[in-house]
Amino acid sequence: MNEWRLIIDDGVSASFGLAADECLTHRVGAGTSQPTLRLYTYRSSCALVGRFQNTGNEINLAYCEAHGIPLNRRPTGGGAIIMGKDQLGIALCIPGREEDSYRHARELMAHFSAGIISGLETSGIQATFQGKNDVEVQNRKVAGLGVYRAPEGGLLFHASVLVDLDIAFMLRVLKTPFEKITDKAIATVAERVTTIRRESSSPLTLDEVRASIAAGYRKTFGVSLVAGDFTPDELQAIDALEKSKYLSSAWVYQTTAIPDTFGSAKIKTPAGLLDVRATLAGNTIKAIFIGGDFFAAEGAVADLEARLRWHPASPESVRASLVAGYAEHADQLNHLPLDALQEAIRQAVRDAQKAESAARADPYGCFVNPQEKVMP
Amino acid sequence: MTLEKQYHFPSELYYESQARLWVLFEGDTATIGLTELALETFGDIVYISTIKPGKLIEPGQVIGSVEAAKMVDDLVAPISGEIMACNEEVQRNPALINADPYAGWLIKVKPSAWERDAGALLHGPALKTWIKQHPGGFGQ
Repeated sequence: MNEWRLIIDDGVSASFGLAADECLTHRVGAGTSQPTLRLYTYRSSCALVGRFQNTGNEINLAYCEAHGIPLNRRPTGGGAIIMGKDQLGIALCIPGREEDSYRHARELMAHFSAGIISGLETSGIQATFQGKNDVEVQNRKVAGLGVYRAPEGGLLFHASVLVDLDIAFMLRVLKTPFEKITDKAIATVAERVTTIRRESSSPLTLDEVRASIAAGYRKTFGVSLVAGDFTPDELQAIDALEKSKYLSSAWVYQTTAIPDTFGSAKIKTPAGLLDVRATLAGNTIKAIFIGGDFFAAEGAVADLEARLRWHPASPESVRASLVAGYAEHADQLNHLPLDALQEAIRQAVRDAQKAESAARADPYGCFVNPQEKVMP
Repeated sequence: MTLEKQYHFPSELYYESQARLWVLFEGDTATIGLTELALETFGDIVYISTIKPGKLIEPGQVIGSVEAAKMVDDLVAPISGEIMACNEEVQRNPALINADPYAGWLIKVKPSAWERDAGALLHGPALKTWIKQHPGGFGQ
């Protein structure tokens, strides 16, 4: 039976937490550290953006500065998150096999998230892997996932499991489609995101969730987990990486050649007002928010939104995914005309693309990165 | 290992050991890009970044990163030399590479040890052997 080291640590700083994950991934790939499952929490609270996100686009910097909330950038992809004592961080650092080099992102995400799903099942929560990279409970996201493949061959699977979540606080820290943080905005988010405590019939502690997920990985991957800690060599290497990269503003505030662009559209339909917000990176839809005063089951709407995350922005492609979603939720979406929704999305996407065109016209705008890129 | 789909590897190009990057050597310039196989495994690329012109690189050094659907991969230099140019157009619009990986290059390099580095790349008989070792398969 293969053996993984299990590291449990709590209240870590953003820079240490991320440096440790990346450092172990390089070392596991190089064969100088053993495969490790790290189940940990960050010191409340910090905000972490994805590898290629622009920090200022994703985070309310003024709020974070005023409240001493540290920011950092993950080595893995995906969107901005908050992490703290109620969000369990998972970092699985393992050597990649040859076939992993050729596996699709979705396959890897599904494979590695199986430990989470198995662990939650033992707590009575039926979670599933959905879309390209989400773990959900009844169409509500309960864990965010990301993967980094290091040049030495190591694989880092990152996950943030929501044991609990202060939605209002998250909306203050992260930039969102909502203009104001109202009860309605909080309720709208609560229809799309859930937590372990909300889904569980008993008030689970973070340690209980952690133990369940450790057991889930043990069972799913057929490994034995041996409790351990960082070695002195590892701590030295983590410290060096933390200082050179994760404590560097060049890394945290790095900009990318493709700024996220935002667009919106409001159209009146016989069913009511339809309010769509789109976030694009180039020609890819990163996220769609479908709101308004029409009548439709929130779960079905959330599923449509999930189908359109990380999705080509072309109208033909969007229509194909909407048609598939409507086929699955026909009864719940019959008051929301597909054609009207498609038109609202098309307008929101076009609005976002106009913003991108405007940025391109500025030769010293978003496409010129005055900061030197920090390579690992 | 078996890969189920046929991928195109133009015979005039060189490939690093995992066949994820191609290298075209012309005159004193090597142009580097992503292969069709890389694109298939990454999925649609959303972000690309590379290091900037003027930098010296060695085989094994990280020269950039790509992200597709929340998975980030580092790209590793297949040859040594000096970065002469990076393709800002594909960094702004990765859809160009998603549409045709052999039409959109990532960086141009002035090789410093092409004869040595080329020996470690897949090309000609070595490429054919690699293809045979990965049934399922590949095509030139």
